[in-house]
Amino acid sequence: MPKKINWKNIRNYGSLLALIALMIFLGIASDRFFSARNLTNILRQASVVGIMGVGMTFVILTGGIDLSVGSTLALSGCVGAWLMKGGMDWPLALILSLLLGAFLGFTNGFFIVSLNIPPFIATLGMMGVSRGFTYILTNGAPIYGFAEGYRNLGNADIFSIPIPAIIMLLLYLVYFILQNRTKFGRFAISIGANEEAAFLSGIPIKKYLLLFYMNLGLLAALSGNVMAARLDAAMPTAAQGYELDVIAAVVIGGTSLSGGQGTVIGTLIGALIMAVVRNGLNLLLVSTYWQQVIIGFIVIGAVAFDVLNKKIKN
Amino acid sequence: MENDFLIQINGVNKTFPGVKALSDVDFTLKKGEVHSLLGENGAGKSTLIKIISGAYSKDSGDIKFSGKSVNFSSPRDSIEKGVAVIYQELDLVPTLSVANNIFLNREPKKGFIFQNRAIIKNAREILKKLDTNIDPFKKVKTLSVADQQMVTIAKALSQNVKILIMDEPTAVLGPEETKKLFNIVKQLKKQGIGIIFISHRLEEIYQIADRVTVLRDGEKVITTDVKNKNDPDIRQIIKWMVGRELTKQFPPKKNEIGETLLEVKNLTKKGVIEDVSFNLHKGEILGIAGLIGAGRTELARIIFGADAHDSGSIKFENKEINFRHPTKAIRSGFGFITEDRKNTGLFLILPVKNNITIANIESIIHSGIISLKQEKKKSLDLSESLNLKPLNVDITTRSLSGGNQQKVVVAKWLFTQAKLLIFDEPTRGIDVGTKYEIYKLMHELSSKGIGIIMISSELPEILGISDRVMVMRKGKIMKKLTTKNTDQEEILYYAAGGGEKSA
Amino acid sequence: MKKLLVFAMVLIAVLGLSVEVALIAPAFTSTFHVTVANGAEAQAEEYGWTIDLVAPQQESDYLAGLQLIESMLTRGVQAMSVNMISMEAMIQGAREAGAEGVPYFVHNSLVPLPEESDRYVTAYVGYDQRKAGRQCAAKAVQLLIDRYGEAKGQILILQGIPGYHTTEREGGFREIIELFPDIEIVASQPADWLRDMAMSVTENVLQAYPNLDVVFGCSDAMAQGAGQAALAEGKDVYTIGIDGNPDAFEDIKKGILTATAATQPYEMGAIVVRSMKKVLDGEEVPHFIVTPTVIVDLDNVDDFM
Repeated sequence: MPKKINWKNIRNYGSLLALIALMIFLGIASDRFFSARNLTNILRQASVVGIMGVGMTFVILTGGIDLSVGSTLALSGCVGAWLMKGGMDWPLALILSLLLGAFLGFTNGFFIVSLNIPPFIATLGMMGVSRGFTYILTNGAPIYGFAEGYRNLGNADIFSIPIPAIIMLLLYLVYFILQNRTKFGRFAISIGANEEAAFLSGIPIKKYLLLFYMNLGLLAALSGNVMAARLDAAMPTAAQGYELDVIAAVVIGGTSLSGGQGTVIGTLIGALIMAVVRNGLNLLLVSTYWQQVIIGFIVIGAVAFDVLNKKIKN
Repeated sequence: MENDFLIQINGVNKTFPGVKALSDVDFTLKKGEVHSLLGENGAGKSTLIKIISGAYSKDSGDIKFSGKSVNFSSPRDSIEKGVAVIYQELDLVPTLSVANNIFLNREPKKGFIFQNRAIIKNAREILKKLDTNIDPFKKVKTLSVADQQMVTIAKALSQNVKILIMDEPTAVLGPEETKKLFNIVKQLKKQGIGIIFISHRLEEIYQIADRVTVLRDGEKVITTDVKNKNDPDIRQIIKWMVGRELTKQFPPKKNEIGETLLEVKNLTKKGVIEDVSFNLHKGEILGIAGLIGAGRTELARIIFGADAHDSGSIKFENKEINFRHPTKAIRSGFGFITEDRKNTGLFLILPVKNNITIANIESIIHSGIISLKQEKKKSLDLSESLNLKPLNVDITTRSLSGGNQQKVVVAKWLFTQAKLLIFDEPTRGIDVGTKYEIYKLMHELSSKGIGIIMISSELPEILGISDRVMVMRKGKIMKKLTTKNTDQEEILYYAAGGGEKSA
Repeated sequence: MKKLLVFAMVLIAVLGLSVEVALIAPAFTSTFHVTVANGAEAQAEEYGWTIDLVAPQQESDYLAGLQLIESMLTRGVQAMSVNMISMEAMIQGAREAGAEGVPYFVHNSLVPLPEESDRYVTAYVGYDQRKAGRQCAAKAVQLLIDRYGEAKGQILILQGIPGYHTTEREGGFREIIELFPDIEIVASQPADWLRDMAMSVTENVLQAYPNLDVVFGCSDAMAQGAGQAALAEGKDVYTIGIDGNPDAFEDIKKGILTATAATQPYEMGAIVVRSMKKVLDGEEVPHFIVTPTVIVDLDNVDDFM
């Protein structure tokens, strides 16, 4: 456990302030916003994007990107559901589903490090491949009706905190330590800061890149199971376009798309901002089209803030 | 009224967070003069240049261009006033042709259509003025560094430049190319262009400069005319720069050569190096001389495990080794201080301490967790022993001067407790005072029994530092010499192809 | 302004001056769902109710749909009606609404949810797809009798993507046609609900069966595509579809489409709200509320435009 947080190192001071400001504004606009029930709703709603976001942070820290997370989520979720429907116990199905996610991430990594395909292209391709397999497996139809134990993964509370939120927050704690206190984080940031220097410093770049993409695949699969448990249905069309939400959360959190700079805590804040905006505007009956517009501006605003910040420091 | 001064700077100040970069600096530049700006890294040269070129804005003070006060807010303003800067990192577009680079963004056009013929014609004229035969159709990335620099100068000339700032233009040039560059500078002088010239090779001042200004710690030490080779004397200049007497350019040797550390036999990689064999002993400094493209860096990368080889063997401490990745080389005790610090040596956007510990991060990991306390302490200790300025391991490496960045790279390999260090152009872009420190450090390392391979294009350095010299050409070893029995001429003779067996 | 409005709405809801209900659509990207919403809104207005009309941005975002249900529960609506492409994905929504005692309607679907979750659903409001298929078949038979003086002729069926909708609509259609031995279904081909695919399938079938009399499309879009293909080939083919969207009515006027079984989404929306009122007033409603489908052709199309 880190003994103290160095606030100077948390670059996303700005996004934290933005989150607080947004919450105050929405609290004023809707008297239901600050109800305990709504706040736990927000945490639960942030979890799907948030869980993937922590993995995406490491991939983006290396200077990479993964566009296939939405498809990985759908395929892993559907395969898990399919296994359960075939009579498998849910814990085993869950584990196999997570392994499948890790395998899909590994495939991304393999294309990137062994065949030197740019991450954008490799994962764009896998986005189609995984989605295609999802439709092939399910014939386009949802798989629904799961055991209660499994459903709890998405819906139950512990001390009135939703389990998906607990999973997410625990993951952020673990990955916060991984980022700041282990090779895992140190190497990610080094590879993103200067890949050649990282190579000449003895960092096994390929091995770690594989690891980062596998890790993200695994987390996407976890998100997929949380979502399937939540809906009590695995949808082949699930999470279309979520890859962009995940990337947006990472970017809003202050992580640089060119790599080498960023924090997982920033991503958590980014995911919360997106969830707060969606939830608050839903409460205010603002159409989802406008929500899209507003989130778009938040992404641009976050990056502009970052760029200005750097300029001022110079 | 006709004003002879192109630039008059009075009492300029500039402060960065935590650093006073310039304090009350005066500086002038006359028409048709070469004014050499000297100082150690971090003395404020770059800041001054950036203020003149509008990249930074001054905090206070007065700047006049041709007698008129100005206040630039962006490089665009200075370009309009006829200022052109030729940086060490040439800002050309590698995939465009020479001609297109020269007229980038100022292409002669009719409507929206570029007049390609006019572009080529104008480019040819300018290149002709510079007395070069660079083909204007060629893509810039195919040119040598020297030619690329020429293109940058051509670009500046095409913009009706009045003030040309050259930041270490000779660092990447060979002797012939340097001579050619100086001829061009002299020609530009005649046209009334004022030139601010920065170089770490002090002897060049006598060939080219009319006046010198020395900066130290952000303050002006002196501005004086350059009369002849003795006035000002080179030792005096160094004294101004470092603020103390530097009697020798190279520290005395005290290393003892021990048993064989590295044994390279018949090392070959097709088209890169051929049949390279040599030994390195503990405590020895082996210089590798040769022209650019002789295969020296490539050899170093192969030994370090960064590139593969086709045949041959390497023995380290009497054991056969064949590294397939630098990780293994580093674990065995190899360190590689690369030529291009910024692109291959450092993580510029990361803190100094990260840079120092990265290659041996295991040593501060306990049950999987990095000890930030130890990281800070150990990197600070190393930085202190290397006299790093400023002594702060939390700041980004980018904010350090070139010499101090090099110290960070050295610290990184000290942290791995390397037994063999490869220095590739260890003092490129580094000022006199820091150079001396680096040489001293190399001697200290070798006296501790570390074997050092030093690749260098600066012959005085090779002769001043190494125990033996190996001259390479076209991937082959031409000659092995004992340093004390050789001289610059002999090394150059072999480097340029002398003694080659004719077919 | 908006804030004020929201505030006023909340105030009214708190003071019990008004009833607030919600209608959640799969997305507002199709005319059908917009029309349902319009019908519901008009009916709510008549009652002096507030109705929240919301939808995810895209039909496939079920998680967003669930989050909307939660937000509506947080708002404190007194009843809600939900439609998603796959209602199974909203079982959890039904459970949450059930847990709060908020009447949960499913509209545009008469397919019961799995047993365990069915009990959370107050009522299903939708049209009977099989019946619509039967109505289309009856219209086809009538057209053939008008043409030949007896029930005979050749029919092509264009199927949507395999699934419940296609099965029901085609099944209903076949039930009737099979009563007439001289009417031949020459082919039953998938056209994936797509207009252009329907066009090329029809073109191909017309080569093999130049005397084709009727094309039945399981949706208007497919029937309209078939109509275009027949027109281009210069064939006099009757085309019949299901849906009754405004553009289908236009095509009836143009002669591209012969008839459609109009599912009357506007009416469906109104029925949803009327059923809500009954439930809130403590009355019983049937578990399955069937909304009417009507055959629209050139004779009565003006009444629907």
